[in-house]
Amino acid sequence: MGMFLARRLVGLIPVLATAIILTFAAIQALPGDPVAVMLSNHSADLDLASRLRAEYGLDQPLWRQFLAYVGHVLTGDFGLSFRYVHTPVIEVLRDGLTVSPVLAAAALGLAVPLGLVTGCTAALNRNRWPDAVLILVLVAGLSIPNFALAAFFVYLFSIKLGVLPVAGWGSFDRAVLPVAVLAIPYAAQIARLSRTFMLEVLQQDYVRTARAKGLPERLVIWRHAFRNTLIPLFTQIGIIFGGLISTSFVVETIFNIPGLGRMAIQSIFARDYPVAMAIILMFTLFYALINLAVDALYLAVDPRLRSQLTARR
Amino acid sequence: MAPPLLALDSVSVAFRSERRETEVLSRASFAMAPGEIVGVVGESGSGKSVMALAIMRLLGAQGRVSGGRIRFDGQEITTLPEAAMRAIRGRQIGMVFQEPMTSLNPLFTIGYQIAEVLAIHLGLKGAAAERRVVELLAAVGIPSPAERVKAYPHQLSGGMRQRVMLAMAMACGPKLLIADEPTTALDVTIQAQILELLLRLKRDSGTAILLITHDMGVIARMAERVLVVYAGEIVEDAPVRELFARPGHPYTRLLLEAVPTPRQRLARLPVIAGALPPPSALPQGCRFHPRCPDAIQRCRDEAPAAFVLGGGRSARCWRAAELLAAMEGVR
Amino acid sequence: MSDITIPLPAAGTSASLSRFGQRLLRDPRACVGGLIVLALVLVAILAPLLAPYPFDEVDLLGAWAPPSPEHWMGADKLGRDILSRLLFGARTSLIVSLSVVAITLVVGVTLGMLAGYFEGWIDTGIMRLVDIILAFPDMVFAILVTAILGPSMATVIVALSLVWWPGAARLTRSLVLVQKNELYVDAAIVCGTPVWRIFLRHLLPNIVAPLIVRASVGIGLIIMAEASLSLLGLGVQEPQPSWGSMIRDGLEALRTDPYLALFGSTVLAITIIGFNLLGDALRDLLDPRLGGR
Repeated sequence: MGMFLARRLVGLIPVLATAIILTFAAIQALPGDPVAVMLSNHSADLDLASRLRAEYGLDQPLWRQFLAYVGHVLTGDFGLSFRYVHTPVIEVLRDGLTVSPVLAAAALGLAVPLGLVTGCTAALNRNRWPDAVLILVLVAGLSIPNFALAAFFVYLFSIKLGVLPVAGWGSFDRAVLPVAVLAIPYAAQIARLSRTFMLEVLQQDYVRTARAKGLPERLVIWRHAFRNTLIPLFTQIGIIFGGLISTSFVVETIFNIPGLGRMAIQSIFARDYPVAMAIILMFTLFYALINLAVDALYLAVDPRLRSQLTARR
Repeated sequence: MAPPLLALDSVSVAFRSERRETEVLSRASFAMAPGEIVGVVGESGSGKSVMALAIMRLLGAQGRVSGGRIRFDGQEITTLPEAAMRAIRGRQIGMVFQEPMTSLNPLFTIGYQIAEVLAIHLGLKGAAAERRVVELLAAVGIPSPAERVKAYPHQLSGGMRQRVMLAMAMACGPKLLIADEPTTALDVTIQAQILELLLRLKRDSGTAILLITHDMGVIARMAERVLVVYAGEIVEDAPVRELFARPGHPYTRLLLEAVPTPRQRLARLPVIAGALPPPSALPQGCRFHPRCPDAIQRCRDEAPAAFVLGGGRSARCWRAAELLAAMEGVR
Repeated sequence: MSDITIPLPAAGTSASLSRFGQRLLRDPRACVGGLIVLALVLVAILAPLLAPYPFDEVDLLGAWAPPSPEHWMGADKLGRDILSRLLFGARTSLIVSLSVVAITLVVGVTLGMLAGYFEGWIDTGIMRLVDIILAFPDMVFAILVTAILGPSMATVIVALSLVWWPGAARLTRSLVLVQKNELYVDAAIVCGTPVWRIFLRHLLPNIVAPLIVRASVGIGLIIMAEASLSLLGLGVQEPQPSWGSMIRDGLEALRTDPYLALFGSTVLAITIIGFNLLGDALRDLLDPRLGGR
């Protein structure tokens, strides 16, 4: 297991290297002179400009800037923000760091159980009306983009019914709509997958054996069938989480949630590229780590893979 | 005479698919005595497995017993409530299936899966259960049973897994063991071992065995009585020696003739012309008549009943008695 | 050197194609989805004829007008007719998604076939690239690319193509790896068939089914992605109408003038639902198991 983790971590290096190179290149390629951004409130003070340039290291040759960038990133220093002059990027991100993970975790925490229960219920009621209804609901849930859902929900719950606040973050009722809107498409995806896997598992011979042993149906399904459904589902969780991270950008933007996603978009428009790139780099790293964790957990849970792994030594 | 352990009375089974219901087993009737080994032989798709599943009431959502009654141990089980049936499954009737490779849950150890049966039916838990599991594993011939308890199914070979299945089926000392093609998926050498094991288990515990197979050799070795199934019907029911010596139904006779012996010198292997008809397209009259060399007009017009031929045997053929007598005469 | 044509195991004759069509029509999802898709295509093509107003006709005095006989769906913040803009927005969605699918398939399938057929260092190289791109969450990558290149329709097409081709490549590669072992490939090689021909006339017809499924499922995703990018402001720019940017404008005024957001969201949702239904029906018909990006 240790070997496996080590190998996978090493495999992350080219990915991270690419990410770092890409984000550095992006900073260079993006239009706009950073110093002009910084000076936006001041007139063309050449003295100030050259001092800022030196401070940010922008007068160094490109390769030196790149090496400095890499060095800093590896120690967690993402440089200084362009927009909030003199402020380290980390500072700028600090508040967002407490918001976005909470949003993502809450959405995942809603999506997974909701999806599992819905999907398995559909599978168990195959050829009866709950299944047919659920299939339609799931297609809708999958297809409607989260911002469209947001439009409907906000209109219904906030404006017409006045039950929930429209936007913002910080209290439970402010969190309800964004978490729901973020979670629903993934709940639908998980439901579809679990329905498919559950249907397959129910056809397996060992389920028949469990019944032949005289086990109550409840145990046959939840002890024997369900557990085997979780395993293939696991492999999809990484993809789902990646999607969740991606779409959180949109949800944060429309609900005005002070998270990393919204900040990234705002930074891009404000030409504060160090901040934007730092966020992108972090998201990428996080996504890679999640996939790694999922694969490791998958190994831990399926005894067949554990044996394969030890056999390979 | 002791009452039969298992009695099927005109049992029919139908499966539903896309609005249509097709009968796959028609009016099957036979009886098994306690401790008897009855072999059920027939081609794939003949309905023999369906019969076994019907007895266990494991036909699934698409299947149902569409006619007849099944009595087990003095009780009618065809209409028994599910809870009561569950008490019988695994406890009074054990079942072993054809595919040992996929019949065990890959996520649980074999010890756990056997202990499950003990817990559900006998209330055995903890150390007592583990002891019993080790005993059972030893009884089915698994080496180092105390260590193997913690093994996962994928760590065992096919033969070993089938032994585990047997241990699970026999765990609560059932009166009847249904074995649906238990050796078909195994190597020939392992087959012999498993069959030996079955005989030993029956000797030690007095369990009756309903052994389903398509292999006449297995029948010859194991069965005391044989049921021959064709196209959803039991076409012959006879003690094993009688069946092999003087087959009453033309199908049985052709099956036996199809097995080549070393002494024959053949240019081609004998086959039975034609193919097994699907349940949705059964011939009129006797279901075997299109392939039968002894068919007469009556066979085409009327489906024969199962005629009793004396000596505890019966055959579903208009000419059975006549053909048997002819065989006598030849001798 | 004559090229002997080997009978293809899975070639579609006109008879099997029409049978396939019949089976497809029996699936209600295919019918509903197909109708929606057809409607979308027609609307996109006929937009200039169907739209009562040009999409950029501004009327500041009539801003946020509610639905009326002049403006069936109302007007937006610049007084432009919502219905007309929605009709033209269909064009945007269709152009972007078809372009992306086309590029993705051409690039992804070609590279995937090269990787799967030749293996060795070509395979390693291409797959390394694929892994790197797939290591990024998709929208994050798309946002990065559009940020670098500057927002526009072309940028969106490039960005989404970059995001989607690795998935197509990976799928093609695994399909080719399987097909490579089939007898007809050996037979073609023995006949001296040049490689490009093996790809085009022998391998491709046998792997086309899962690719079609992927494409049909993908169009819905791409439409959603384009709308998301436009909603964030990184996509199609004014005055060109995109459903995404229209919804963004609508969301800002949701409290007082909800019609833009609601109509826009409904239209977008129905469109994607249509493509997904059609994709599902095709998938069940062509290939029961398929997943991933």
